[in-house]
Amino acid sequence: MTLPLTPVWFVALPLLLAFASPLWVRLRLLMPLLVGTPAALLLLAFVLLPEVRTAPLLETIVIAPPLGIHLQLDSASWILVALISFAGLLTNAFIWLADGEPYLRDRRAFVFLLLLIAGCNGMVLTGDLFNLYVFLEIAGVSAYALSALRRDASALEAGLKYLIIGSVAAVFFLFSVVLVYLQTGQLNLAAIAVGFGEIPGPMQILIGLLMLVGLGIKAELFPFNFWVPDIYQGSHPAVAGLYSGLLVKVFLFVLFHLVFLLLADPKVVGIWLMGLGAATMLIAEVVALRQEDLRRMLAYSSLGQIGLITLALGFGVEATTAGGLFHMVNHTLVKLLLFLTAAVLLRSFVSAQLADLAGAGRARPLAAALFVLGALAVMGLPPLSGFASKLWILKGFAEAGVFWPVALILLAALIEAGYYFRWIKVLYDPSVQLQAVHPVGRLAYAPMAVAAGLIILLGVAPFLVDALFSEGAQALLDRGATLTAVLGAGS
Amino acid sequence: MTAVPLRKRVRVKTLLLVLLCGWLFAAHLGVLLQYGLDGQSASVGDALLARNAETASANAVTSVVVSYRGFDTLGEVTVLFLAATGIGLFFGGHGRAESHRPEPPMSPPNEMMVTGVRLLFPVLILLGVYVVLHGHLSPGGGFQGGVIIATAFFLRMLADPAFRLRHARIGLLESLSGSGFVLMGLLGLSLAGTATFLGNFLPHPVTEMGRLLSAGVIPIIYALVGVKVGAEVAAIFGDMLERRGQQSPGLLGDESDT
Repeated sequence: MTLPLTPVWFVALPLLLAFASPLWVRLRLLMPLLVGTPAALLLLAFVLLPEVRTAPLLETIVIAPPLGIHLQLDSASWILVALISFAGLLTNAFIWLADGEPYLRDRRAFVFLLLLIAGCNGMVLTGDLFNLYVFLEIAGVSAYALSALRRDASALEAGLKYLIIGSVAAVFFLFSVVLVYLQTGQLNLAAIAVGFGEIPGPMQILIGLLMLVGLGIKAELFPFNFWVPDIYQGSHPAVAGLYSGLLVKVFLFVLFHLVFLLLADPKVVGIWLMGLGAATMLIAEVVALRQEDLRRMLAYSSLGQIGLITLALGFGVEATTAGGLFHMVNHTLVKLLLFLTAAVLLRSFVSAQLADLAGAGRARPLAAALFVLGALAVMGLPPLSGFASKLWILKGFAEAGVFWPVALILLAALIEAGYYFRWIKVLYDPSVQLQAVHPVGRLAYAPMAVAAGLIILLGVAPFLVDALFSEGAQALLDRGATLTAVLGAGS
Repeated sequence: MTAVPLRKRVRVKTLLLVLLCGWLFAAHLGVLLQYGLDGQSASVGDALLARNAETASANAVTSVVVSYRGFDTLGEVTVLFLAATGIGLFFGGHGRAESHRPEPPMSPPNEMMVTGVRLLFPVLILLGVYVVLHGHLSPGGGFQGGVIIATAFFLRMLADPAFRLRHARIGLLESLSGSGFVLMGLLGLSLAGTATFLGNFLPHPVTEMGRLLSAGVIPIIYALVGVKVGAEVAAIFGDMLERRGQQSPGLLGDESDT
């Protein structure tokens, strides 16, 4: 009897620990396990990395692929799984070390946080359409509950809004799953991909549209993202950081995974997705200029970056896709850092309004400095990681000879600079003497320091991860290889 | 911005949204009627039905739900667990003592109801257990049986004001059965004979098909699902039904998580 290290652990371990949570309460292990679980998953990801880089890992569950469910860990999904574990680790460590709000530290929050990680891992790993829906629900329901945890008016409003809009999105996606099964008789993604071309054209469009609405709502793309700022504002900033840093990335990845796998020619929808991405980016950046609440500003900034990633991935060329994946990772690091500084500022000064934070840079110098670092990384200034990934994306567009996205991305970066410097200026306002109301422990800065360190490291030495992201882009784009790996050489 | 009052702008948005939804719905229906009616000739379902004998479960639906797509079932049980946890959080009344809305006194249930439920309770429990345990033989199973058991407790709660769910015990049952499900899956993964998550590692000869003890791990997993679903649905009923004023902290403040 052995305990093989396979991809299913990324789902099974958090599930097991979440189910057994009453036991951890009794043993007083809740907080160590909250941090330990994502740490263990991250470790497992790194143990599996050499194997993944040689060939994608396929794990059959009960019955072989075309009939049953399988999990697939290739370079692209590895990046996401490692990102999920890392983001979970940082946020959970912050929740533990900052010693703050008790509602984030009880058994239920533990369950929701672990199941959010489990759901995201499952969505990224699964090779089965219905299984994808199940994990989408797991991640969704834990996110709804997480945003309402504080149980005051704004948190409950956020939770209720999220519940309604998320359920609507899930229903749209479920409809598309039903139609796909009716038309192809398959649920395995690879088998669907083989049969998808034979579905009559209008039906293909309908399925695609339903999927786009379902996943577009979840991935916060332009016409479907009106609900996002309310939810980011009502949730605890650490939780909002998880949404922006983790949940949205996973849904974006799922959307593009489906596009690149199901369609023989992804270019058909790529241009539409690029349009949506560009619209998301520009509108969100412009609206962010006028925000008076730090959390809302960060929410709109996050939407802008999501649009940028969509624009890059939608182009479907290896360079932009690799750059887009790299930017996903960078943006997760940056937004975690920014939302955690927002959590520190919110706790220190009780308010996150622009007017109430004037002069906060003197009372909380470390938090303000980390905010500046994060802001510079979002804008893409040279020694930081945002520069490396934006440069990669721009180079990809320039090599392909398509210049309108380049212009738009640079314009968006300019607008970004505008509103981030507005906030920085207010934070360091010399005319106001602001006193912190609540203390924040020094340890709370540790996870933020880790994120900041990685932002600098990836900015100075992007060549450390270049190869990995290129492999990830190839794995995401190479439809034939995935089909052969899952269905055998005959297909 | 503009001189248009906010109310009007909102209405335009709503109208556009309604039009978009209407268009989507019409498109959906049109395409469905045109292309969705000619059913698929060969689907995964048929292939799985043809292979059903290998699980030795007389009920083919159960072998799909618990074995072939057991991973989905684990996920669905998790969604229910999340829902129950969330409802416990928002309706359970922990820490909401600050709202002092006067509760109307609950009128005592009449004698017919009390006697009827007293008679019905053991029968319902027995039926629920039967449906759970025969999930691999006849229609039914963990989800259905679990809900029947939960209904029995729901009736008790309605008919007997003194009856309280022991939330701590329910939580323990829930966590034991949930962990048991995952552990069964991991046992399947770790044993060399199956080597896949949720693999059927107990002997399940086809000749035994139709007996109570057959189909290997399927009845065990379905029984765990039954316990979990029963505990969760009962906890949801309990959270919805119990009034804040009646809760004694000794029974409900179970997990020292306040």
